[in-house]
Amino acid sequence: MFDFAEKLVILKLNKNSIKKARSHFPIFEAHPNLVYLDNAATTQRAQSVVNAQSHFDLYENANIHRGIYDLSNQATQKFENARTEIARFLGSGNANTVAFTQGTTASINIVAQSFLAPRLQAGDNIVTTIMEHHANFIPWQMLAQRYQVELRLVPIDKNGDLDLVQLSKFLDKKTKLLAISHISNTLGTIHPLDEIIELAKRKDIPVLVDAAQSACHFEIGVDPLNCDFLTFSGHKMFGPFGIGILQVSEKYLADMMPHNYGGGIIKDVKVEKTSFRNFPHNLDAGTPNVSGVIGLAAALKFISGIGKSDMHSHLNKLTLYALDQLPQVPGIEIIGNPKKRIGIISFNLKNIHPHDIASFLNKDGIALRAGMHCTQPLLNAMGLQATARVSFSIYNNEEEINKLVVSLKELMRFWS
Amino acid sequence: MKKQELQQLFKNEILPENENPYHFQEPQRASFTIEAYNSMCGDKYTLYFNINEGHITSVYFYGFGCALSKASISIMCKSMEHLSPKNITTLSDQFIFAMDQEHSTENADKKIQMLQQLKHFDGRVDCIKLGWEAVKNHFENADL
Ligand SMILES: Cc1ncc(COP(=O)(O)O)c(C=O)c1O
Repeated sequence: MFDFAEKLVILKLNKNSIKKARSHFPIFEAHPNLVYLDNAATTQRAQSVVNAQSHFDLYENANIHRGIYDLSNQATQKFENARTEIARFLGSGNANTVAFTQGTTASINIVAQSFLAPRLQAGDNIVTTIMEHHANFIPWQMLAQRYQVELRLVPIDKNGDLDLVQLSKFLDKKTKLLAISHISNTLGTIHPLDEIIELAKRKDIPVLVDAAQSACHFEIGVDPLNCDFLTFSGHKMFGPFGIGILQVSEKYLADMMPHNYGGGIIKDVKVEKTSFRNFPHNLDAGTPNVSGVIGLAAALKFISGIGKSDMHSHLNKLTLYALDQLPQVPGIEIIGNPKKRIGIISFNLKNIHPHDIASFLNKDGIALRAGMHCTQPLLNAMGLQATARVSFSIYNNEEEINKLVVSLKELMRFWS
Repeated sequence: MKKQELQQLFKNEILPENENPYHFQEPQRASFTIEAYNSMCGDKYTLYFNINEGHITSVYFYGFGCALSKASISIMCKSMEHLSPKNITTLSDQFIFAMDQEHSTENADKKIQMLQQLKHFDGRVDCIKLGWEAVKNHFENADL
């Protein structure tokens, strides 16, 4: 009998494991000198995630929900267990609040189509911010245009903090949704969600939180945050591409309508009429990404093993260190100075375009991102065309930030 | 490309073109303008063409972008002056074709040749093609 478990790398995740975090990511075996600072775009994949996924794919694969045979039953059980584990990760005992999607973008679009669109009337408004990733902006802009609804964009101050006074003024009787990110993927600003959600809740306005950048290291969930819709992506938390989560508060579960149609979501199909299952089962039309779900559950297990609070303090430490060291680079401008920021820093160098920075740093083995980071409205509001962005994760360290500073200094010398 | 090669390339070719770009200003008058915009990265230039008796008399450009897109457009503007719209279409077609081709293609203009040799520059080919693509699209869709 083949015992796959024996072949798995046994991961001993203990209190110190932040120090050993790098060893869980085979990418650094393939590229030992890689300084990977593009974690806001996607994090590296943990060994345990790939193991869990490939174990399912190789030895347990069957389609779910439809078979009576053992393999199918076991696959179904694994899939639904993952839902329960993910709910628990989000501080909820109710697995039926958790739907699997393709990622943050898909989750937000589902809320736009299956929750918000049916309840919009001309004259209503949707509130979001100027700082959002396009994924949390364009779906609302499209709805606003289609239903003659006002899209209200909360502005920012020069530091990159939201104008909460304006936000509060924007929320009124006609507001049908407040959609806001937890952490800005361009500036790293941590929005004061407690305060913001409280403002909306006082007026009984549903709130969507885009947790793409915070799911890894913040206690999130519709219950802990007191929001109604929570969205995030597996690939930004050591998990696979193509899988993400939409969690919906119990209050609005019954308002989530199916948005694409097919098998798996139905109660009864007659020639005249079809009736549907309830959320989350009314979203999974067709065969879902079963191994992606299993990989995501493994990623959450990995995160819990290391501990969110340890991750958070590590990222905080790196961010503070980088903010302290980067100003040594002549001609550097750090974009924004928000009250609270974590994990992500945008900057520009005098006279050097971010793309050229990225090309030169690439030659020193440093991977960073250059461009608009899918936040054109934000950059326009700040009068910027593009930025260079570094973003950290658990496998980064201070030595790598030192290398970044050395490379940037060398580039400035070369350019001038 | 090794780091040293990248430095050589920038020092010898790209940075000089960047520091002294050809006709990098908004002219008083233009017969027509073309926008060159890469929405993925934010590079954005306006190209200003003046035309007289079927020939392009001057090409200016202005805007914001990386050293490569700017150098490439600078070289392009210079090479397009005094051509007919038809020849401009051919020139931009050939350039894009050369950039997309696996094997190398010769161009008599040394600077254009230099750009064409950068077709394997990881992640930066779009920067080099930006202005040329815009011109190609414009003239292909125009009634010549
Ligand atoms: C804040 C934020 N929202 C949404 C997204 C979109 O995520 P995905 O591409 O996984 O759908 C991202 C990804 O960059 C993000 O940073």
